[in-house]
Amino acid sequence: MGEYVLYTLLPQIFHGLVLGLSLALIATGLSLVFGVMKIVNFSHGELCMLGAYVAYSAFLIIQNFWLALIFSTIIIGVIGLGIEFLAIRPLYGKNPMFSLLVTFGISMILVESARIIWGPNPKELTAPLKGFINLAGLNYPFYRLFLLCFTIVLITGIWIFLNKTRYGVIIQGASQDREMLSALGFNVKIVYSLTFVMGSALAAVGGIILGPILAVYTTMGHDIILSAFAVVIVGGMGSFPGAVVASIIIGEVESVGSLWIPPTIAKTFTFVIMAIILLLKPEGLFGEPGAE
Amino acid sequence: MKKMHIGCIIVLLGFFIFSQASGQQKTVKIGVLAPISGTYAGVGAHELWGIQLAVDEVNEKGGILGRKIELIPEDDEANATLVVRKATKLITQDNVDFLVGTVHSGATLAIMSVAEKYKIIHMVPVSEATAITEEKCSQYTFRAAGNARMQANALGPWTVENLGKKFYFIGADYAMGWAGVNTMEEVVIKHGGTSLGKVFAPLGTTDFASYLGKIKAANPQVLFINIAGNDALRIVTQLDEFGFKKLMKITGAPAIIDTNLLPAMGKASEGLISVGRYFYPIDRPQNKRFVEKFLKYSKGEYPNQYSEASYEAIIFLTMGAEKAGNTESEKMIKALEGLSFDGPQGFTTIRPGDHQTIRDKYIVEIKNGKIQIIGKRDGKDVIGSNLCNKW
Repeated sequence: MGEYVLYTLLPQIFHGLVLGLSLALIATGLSLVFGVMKIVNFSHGELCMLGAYVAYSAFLIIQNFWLALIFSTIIIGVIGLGIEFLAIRPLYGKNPMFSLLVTFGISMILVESARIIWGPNPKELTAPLKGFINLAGLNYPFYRLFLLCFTIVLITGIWIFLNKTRYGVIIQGASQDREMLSALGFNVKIVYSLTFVMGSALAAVGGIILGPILAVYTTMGHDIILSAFAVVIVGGMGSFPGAVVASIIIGEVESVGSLWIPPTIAKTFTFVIMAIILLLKPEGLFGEPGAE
Repeated sequence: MKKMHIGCIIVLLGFFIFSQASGQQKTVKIGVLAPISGTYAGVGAHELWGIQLAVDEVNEKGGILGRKIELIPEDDEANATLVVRKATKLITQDNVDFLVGTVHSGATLAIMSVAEKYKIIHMVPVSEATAITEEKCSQYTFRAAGNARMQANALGPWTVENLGKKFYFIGADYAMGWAGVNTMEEVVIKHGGTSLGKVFAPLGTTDFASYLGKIKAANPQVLFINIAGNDALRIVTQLDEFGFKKLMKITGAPAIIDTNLLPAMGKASEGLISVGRYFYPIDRPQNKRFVEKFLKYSKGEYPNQYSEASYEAIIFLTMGAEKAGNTESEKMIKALEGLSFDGPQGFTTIRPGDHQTIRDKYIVEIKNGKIQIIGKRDGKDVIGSNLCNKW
């Protein structure tokens, strides 16, 4: 029994934690954009994908993963700014369905563009850290430990930025009462633009950091975004702690669940949890009651 | 003004006559179903390159029965529901003479039902699920590709002899994944190996880490993987990431050493062992010519067994129609049954009883990022008995 816990259950719980936090990495940007702008960004996964591709190309030239990460994040931020300015800005105050459709269209444009630029075959983004460490008899890759720490630091950083800095408070203000914010003399449009840029940059970071594990290919956005949406819904739309807690729950259900039941069914459980939470607490675990 | 009217009429008449004339030279239309988008887009690209190369070769020599081949490709998105609509459209609206497709076995089975309904000859270029030429076999469907049982019959005995007796299996959770794992397990046990367990991962699984604990706990000597597309790329990369290659031999269906995946796998592909009917280093003059031409279509990507069988699918249709004297389905069936072709990979024959092609199989290993042939099994030894009893 003790052996089972140590060699089978514990590693599985650890896998679940890593899987969950990698989901959180994708979901935070999604949650941020929704929380502030009330926009469900369907192109978020494709921005991850594009980030990974740009980093792949940058890596071929500069041969340094970290520089490629920074370069790509900036590029995707700029692309995000373009998307916000051209496609989303004209839709503020209109039916939310419009922005949903527009971002869905953008996601298709991005997938096809990537296919035209980089071709149909997947690309390898080499992990910057090699080797593994022995954790309870299991060789655990360094890169995944890095991913774990990186995600925790990044999410904590964003949380501090949003709650403890002046700019963060302004962004929070825009999400709570935009009229009051603009009455106080702030340009809400600029706040929105910057929020979308931040969301896009976060998507890029997520795509790049997960790139070495998932491989880089045109439909990777589609493959990761479904679970990220589940995370945002379970955690509560726009809630940061909610996204993190929900990510870990979903990661653990998929990972530990697959020990005893077929993995496909374990994966389905994610959506069962989503349905149950929507029924019992429609605003999500950490969502504010009354929020749409 | 009047002159202009007359001019217009003459031009229109010209068009009319021209279109009539070209109408008499009817083309042979082939509807192609391939996943142009989605997780199998890479495989779909190989299917289309192989087909296009064959069509250009046939057309250069004057086409089928003096008629040029016209291709009508459709994206099936590896979707078994969508493919029914697309196949029906190809038959009823485009009036295609033949259907070729596809990659996803579930989608191929769906095409088969449409082909049977409209009595259209259907060639399978990629799908390997055994059902296609066994319990779900159809008179109208012929398979240029191999099947999972042939793979297992070639790879199973070889691995038991050379790599070890204790096996673990992992497959994709759908028709192809199950068929490949179950037949391999059967063959391995028949040849004295033991199965320590099997697990199926949903299509599109991004992280295989949580499966690895189970596999490691079972402590097999050989891991057999039956996963394709980007999922295959991920499991191979992640097995390497967790250092599994030091613990066990990693073998799998040909999909794991797909030439369109190997560059993205990098060093993770080193030492993978697989089986297949076609690999680009095969040393035959027919193959040298094929590879040389193919590289122009793929812009430098080497052909794999998908592109090669897709190429053969068109050649078989051409040979069949020439032998039958027309493209009429009932005559085509008779002509195709027992037909042989000395192609790039070797001598291929269509078995009349189940419409499966009989081909040699090669055992290969990845060394320094390249495919190396380390063994060969004769087509007659791996084909197995005919399990189709519909005609």
